[in-house]
Amino acid sequence: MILSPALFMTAVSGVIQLGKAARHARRDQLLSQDFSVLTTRFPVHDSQEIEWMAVDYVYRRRDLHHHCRLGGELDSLFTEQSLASGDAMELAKPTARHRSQVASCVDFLYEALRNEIPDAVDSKILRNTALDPRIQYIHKEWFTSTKPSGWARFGLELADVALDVIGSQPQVLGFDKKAEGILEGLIPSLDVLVDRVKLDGGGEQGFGERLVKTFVHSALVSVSQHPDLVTSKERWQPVIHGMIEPLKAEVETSEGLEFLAHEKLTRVVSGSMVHGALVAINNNADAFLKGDAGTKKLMGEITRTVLGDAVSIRPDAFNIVDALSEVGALKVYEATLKTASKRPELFMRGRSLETNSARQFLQNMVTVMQDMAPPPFDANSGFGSEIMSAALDVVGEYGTTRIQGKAGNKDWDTAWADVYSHLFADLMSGLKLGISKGNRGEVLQQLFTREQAVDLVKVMAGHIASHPHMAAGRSANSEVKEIARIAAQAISSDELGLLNAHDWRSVVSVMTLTAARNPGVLFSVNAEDSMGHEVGLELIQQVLRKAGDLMQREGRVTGSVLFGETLREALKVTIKAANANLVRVIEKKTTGDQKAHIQEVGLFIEKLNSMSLSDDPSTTMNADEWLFVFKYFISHILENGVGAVDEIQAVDIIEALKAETGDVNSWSN
Amino acid sequence: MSLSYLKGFIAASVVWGAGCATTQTSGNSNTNYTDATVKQSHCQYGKDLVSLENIKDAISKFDDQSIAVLKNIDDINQLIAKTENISSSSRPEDALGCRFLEMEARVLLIEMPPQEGQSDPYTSAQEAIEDVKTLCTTTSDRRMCSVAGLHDATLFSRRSAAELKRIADSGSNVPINWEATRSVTQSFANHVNTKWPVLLRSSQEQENVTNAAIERSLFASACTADDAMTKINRRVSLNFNRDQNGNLVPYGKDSGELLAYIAVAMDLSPDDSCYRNPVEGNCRGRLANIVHLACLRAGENAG
Repeated sequence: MILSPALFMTAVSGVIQLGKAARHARRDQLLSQDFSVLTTRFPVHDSQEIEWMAVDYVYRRRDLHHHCRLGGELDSLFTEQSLASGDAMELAKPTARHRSQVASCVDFLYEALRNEIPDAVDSKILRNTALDPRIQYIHKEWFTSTKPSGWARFGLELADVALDVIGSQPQVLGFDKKAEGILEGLIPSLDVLVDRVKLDGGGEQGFGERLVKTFVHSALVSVSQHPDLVTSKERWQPVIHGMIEPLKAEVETSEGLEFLAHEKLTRVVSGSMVHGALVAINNNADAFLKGDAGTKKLMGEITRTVLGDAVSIRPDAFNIVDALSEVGALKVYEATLKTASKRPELFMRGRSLETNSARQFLQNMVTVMQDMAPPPFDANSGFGSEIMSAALDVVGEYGTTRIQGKAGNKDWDTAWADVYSHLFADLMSGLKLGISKGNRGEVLQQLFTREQAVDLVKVMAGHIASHPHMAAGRSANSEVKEIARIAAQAISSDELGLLNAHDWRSVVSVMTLTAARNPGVLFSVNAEDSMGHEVGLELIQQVLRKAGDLMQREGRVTGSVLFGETLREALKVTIKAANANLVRVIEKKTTGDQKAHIQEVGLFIEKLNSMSLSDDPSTTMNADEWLFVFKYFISHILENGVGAVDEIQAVDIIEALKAETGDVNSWSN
Repeated sequence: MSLSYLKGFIAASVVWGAGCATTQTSGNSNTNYTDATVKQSHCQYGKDLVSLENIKDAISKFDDQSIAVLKNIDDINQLIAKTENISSSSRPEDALGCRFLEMEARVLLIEMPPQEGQSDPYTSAQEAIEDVKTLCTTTSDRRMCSVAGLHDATLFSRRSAAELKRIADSGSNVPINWEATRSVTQSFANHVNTKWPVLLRSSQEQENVTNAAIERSLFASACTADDAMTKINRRVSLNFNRDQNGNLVPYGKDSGELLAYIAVAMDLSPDDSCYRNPVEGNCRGRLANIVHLACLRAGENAG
């Protein structure tokens, strides 16, 4: 009789429903413990006992009794009365021949032992004999001893999986049948995922079965820890089918290397993948479940794209796990799911599915990490998955219709992959170049936490991607690379650590946005440009230099305010002001004149610091006041250059402060 | 087949808790060989199973099981006292496990002679087996039920063989109580003649670890008995073989019949010509000798 999926479901969920969690845990414990049973040990005979057995043997052999009668070789062994009786052996009084007669009995015995033990007896004895009287009752053997068929055995093992989880996570039973919800979602997929013919034929469990068990285990654990994830079986069903089926298909098409793939994939799938998928689906339920995205197929394609490649066993295939680690692959998988929920068209074209673009994108990103990224984003740092997740976020957020329109539907799939992976390639190579120009090769690791470093890249990428002219190229973009280089050089310039990671994120964000809006103004669009296109960097370094001088000369004293938040805002103001006021002037000037404009900013900072540090209470400034004055005059200085600072008298500064006292606080924002 | 198996599994699982809820204690309040210092703590299946396995490990290292049991008697009694003492607040599902452990511990003692003022270890073990078997009608852990079945099938034979061994091993200056010895032997023979064919037939029909264990255990008991009876016959031969009236005691016949029944039940003979009347003089000797040879071979193999 065939075990139907419905009955299969009854079997597994029946185990789950048995009762209270404690009872199940207990039962699980009882079932899982093996025990031994002692039976009677076989007697092991010594030489004297064998002699006794031999004498006994001869006495029982009536056909030998003629040897025991007068004149026979055993004639003094038994009493006459004993021989006559046949029911009561009685040895005669030992004579001188006693030993030799007993030895003859032993010969009779051994001859019989050699010749008279039929094969059947021998095999039975041998089969049933063991020195150790213990019999092991092993849980698994006990189950299999009843010889359930393959399909039923698989059901039992799945029940075992459920019990395993319940034993360690008994709370899974307290979730109003949510655990069953998972299984109900699984059932319709069973016929596809499990090779029943193979199972019932007595074959070993195949990949599909093992994957199902791994999935059920992971899903139950995830649910026990995050019961809020399970809302309905309608939500689970496509997830389960969509995840497992393509993986199974991926591996089954690879002949001869299934085991390798299974080992690897089981590790990858366990736990995180299921949980990640559930979270992603749950958080984006509307997009996944109600849209036109063909949820099940989309889910499957994403899974195949990421995890299929994760365990890729084809020599020429992309192997994401080798590049990113298993954990990294899972993070990318989660990120891909989230991206797909926002932008399913990235993974689908028309009515068909096309994930070549996604695969190409991931491959390109791995290359970026391996070949172009500086520490801490390089392949060995473990940042790869975070950067790829950030990249997917950016793609999902900014994958513009403009690109699609430009490339045309036919080319769209490869276009976006090229565009966005090049964007990150340019960013990474720019950062690498910028850092190499300074003396602080590890500045990013030292200054930024893991999350901050990734966020910095993401902010830059986001600003660039939001400006289609920068993100539309399908080859290396020198402008993007230059922005990144300058940002890295700027950060490296802060040798005293006047700004923290948060401050730099803010400054770099303004730098990038400014550059994106005004190509080639403050930041070079070409590495071969003259100094004029590095004005932005020069300005930043000038401000940093003056702030550093002040900190080294005065330290933290009253009136010394140019560091941290104040410095950050001063830099942002300078960049914005320069962008608005400096460019049209500076473009007409020589390099020397350009530098003079920038030096004037430094002179102004010195002037403000001098006033602020003086003993005159009327000129001493707090941070907000300093920043207000700086912002008030910076545009004028940048526009007029040499001599502009001299024109600004102390009284002008005091007047400005008095006029705007009420507004100064607004500068800190 | 697979469907019914799975159904059975689920059904057994579902009713398991309910079945255990009705479990009663065995009522074996007097523990054999009980030491006054035995702790009366409650049964804890997981911990006590470990204790039991440790005891079994220790016993299995000895060639003579009765000596091994004596050496571990305190631990065994402690375990019995603990496992028969199930807390009133314990979960129902613990009952089977604890009863199982108590049964296992009591079975270890069955080869010990009854002590004055205490219940017979064999009787106590039998009651413990019955307790587990009763629970097994509703329990889901069939391993434990199978073990209860194993003990139920082999207990009498083990006990009888052990009694014969005790008689055989008693000092040569101790007169043999022929009435008791013949009674044990004849009773064992009757048991073999009536019970073993049924037990061994089911073993042949369904091969599993329990049935294999039953077969092995019965054969080991047969060999223990054979060994013991050979020694007793030897004693007979040294002129202790006469009863109070000076007549020869026909113990060769008693022992021969027991062995002949064993040969028939275990189908040890290469032909079945003697199976119809195994106690006839010639057949009896022939069949008994087949057991002799089989046990010798088994002993060689084991040694």
